[in-house]
Amino acid sequence: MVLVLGDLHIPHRCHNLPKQFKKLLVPGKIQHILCTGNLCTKESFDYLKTLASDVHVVRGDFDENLNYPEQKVVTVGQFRIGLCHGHQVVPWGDTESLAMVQRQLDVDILISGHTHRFEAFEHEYKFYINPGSASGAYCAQDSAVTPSFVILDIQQSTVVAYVYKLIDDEVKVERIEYKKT
Amino acid sequence: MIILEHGSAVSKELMRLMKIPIDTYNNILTVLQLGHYNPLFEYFDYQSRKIMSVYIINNALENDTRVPTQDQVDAILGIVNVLVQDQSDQPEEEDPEDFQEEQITMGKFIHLLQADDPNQHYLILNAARKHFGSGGDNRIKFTLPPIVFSAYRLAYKYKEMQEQDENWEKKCQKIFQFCHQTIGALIKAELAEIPLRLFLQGAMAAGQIEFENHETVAYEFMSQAFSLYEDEISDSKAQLAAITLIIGTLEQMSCFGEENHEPLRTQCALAASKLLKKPDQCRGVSTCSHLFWSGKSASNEEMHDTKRVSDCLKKGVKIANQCMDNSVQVQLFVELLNHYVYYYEKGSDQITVQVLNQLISKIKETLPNLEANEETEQINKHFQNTIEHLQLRKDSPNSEGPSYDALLL
Repeated sequence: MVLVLGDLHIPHRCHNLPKQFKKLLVPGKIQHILCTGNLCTKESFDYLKTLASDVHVVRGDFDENLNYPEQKVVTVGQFRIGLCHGHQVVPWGDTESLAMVQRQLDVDILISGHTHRFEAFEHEYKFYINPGSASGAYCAQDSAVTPSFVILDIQQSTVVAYVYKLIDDEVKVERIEYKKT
Repeated sequence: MIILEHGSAVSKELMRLMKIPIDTYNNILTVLQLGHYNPLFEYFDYQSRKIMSVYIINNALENDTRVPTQDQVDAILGIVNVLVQDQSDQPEEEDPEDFQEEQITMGKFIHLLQADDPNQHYLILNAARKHFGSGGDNRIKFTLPPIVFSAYRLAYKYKEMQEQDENWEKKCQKIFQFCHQTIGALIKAELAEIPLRLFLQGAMAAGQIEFENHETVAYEFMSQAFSLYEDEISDSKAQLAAITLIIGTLEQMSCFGEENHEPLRTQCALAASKLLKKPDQCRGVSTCSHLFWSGKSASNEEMHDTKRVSDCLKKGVKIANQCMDNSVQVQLFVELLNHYVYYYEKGSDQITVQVLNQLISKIKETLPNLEANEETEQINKHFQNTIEHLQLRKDSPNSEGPSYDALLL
């Protein structure tokens, strides 16, 4: 199981992850964590380390740790997964611009953030995921941000993405499947 | 006045006693209403006051205790003053990690200072600003940014409730002035990166909220960001990061008329071309091209200035040609090819199949000359993926899109 989350923006824009999410995120169930960045402090990083030992973080525009890499590629099972915060990809959230990153990193799945808006779609046989903001942090473009994160279940050549959203104080889950061709 | 030494029997007992109402009520606002609670704090020494204050704030955070009035803000920040300002009895040296942790906690706490009524919320933020503003340079870098973001959020709230308040626009203006000053305080404390980002955030917010005079405010915030970029960001890696952020921000904004948009995008292009390292220049200039394509000025329509887009990419090619490292050069060419393809697909008429073919053949020529190593493998893969993408487009053409027939792959 891979936990995909980011754009927490603690303490600049938020004080905590939603209680309902913290209840679900327990250590021992997750093997890898892929974080799109904007934690923003070591405290949040340490929290992620309590959930899983294999934590990968890329640099967001507000991260205090300037040594996080701009991009990262992680292989889980049969999948090459690319990780990038996304503020460097102009225009922000643009599919074709993200596709340029996918081609450069040569990945099957590209994970990016920054827009605080959950996305999961297939484009030219590759899978794109934006886990949104796990804390529902403020975003200039969107006055109503829904807190969300994603769990990936990777089995051979299939990835099942479970997206968890906090809507009206309740956790709603959706399931999306992607097969590697 | 007796001051109890931390660790002494009386001090320990008093702390234990004072934690009871905190743990029982789980609402520090109630605790502070207890008649004789606050004065007891004066008996504690610095260390004990610290521990009690952290205990109080953590309790508030754990219980999501909102602080909805100015008086309550004053009361709480008064009692935990040891975390807010320098104290007369504080030690010379403090553990920097502990200090940082405490200040981050205070930063988080700021998000609990809120009221449903926006006018009340503004008063609260003002009060908080006064308290935290006197915390000194070491503290404000943790506590003022959350105040600024809280203020930006409040401005959106005013817009949402505009039906109920005919003065909402003036109030928004006031909020942005408040933010401008608050960010100014961070600059006085010799910070640059975070103020730059806060100004960019403010520009975007002003552009979205569209209160009267918002274009002027947004322009001012963008200019301030630029000033910080030019005067205070000297590390080349930081410069590339900052200019990319400025470009990305401007690309998103649609509130500027041509009179304001033109100098901003020109400055971006100039700054990108003046980055120290050639690869950074090349990438900066390529990123800038988007301002001339999807950037919006005046009519809220994308500019689609195909000539300027082409100029940017041509410049990128010229700069790439000046790179002495062959590996880097080919890498940049592949990136540029991808940019050209991006615009070709969008229907940019200045970018022709000939240009694509030229770049493709140049890359095919120079790739084999690179030393065989991991980096070259990556560049190869990148190029292959790009060709495959083009092949896909060629094989299943979109009837409305450009033609890929003349493409030589």
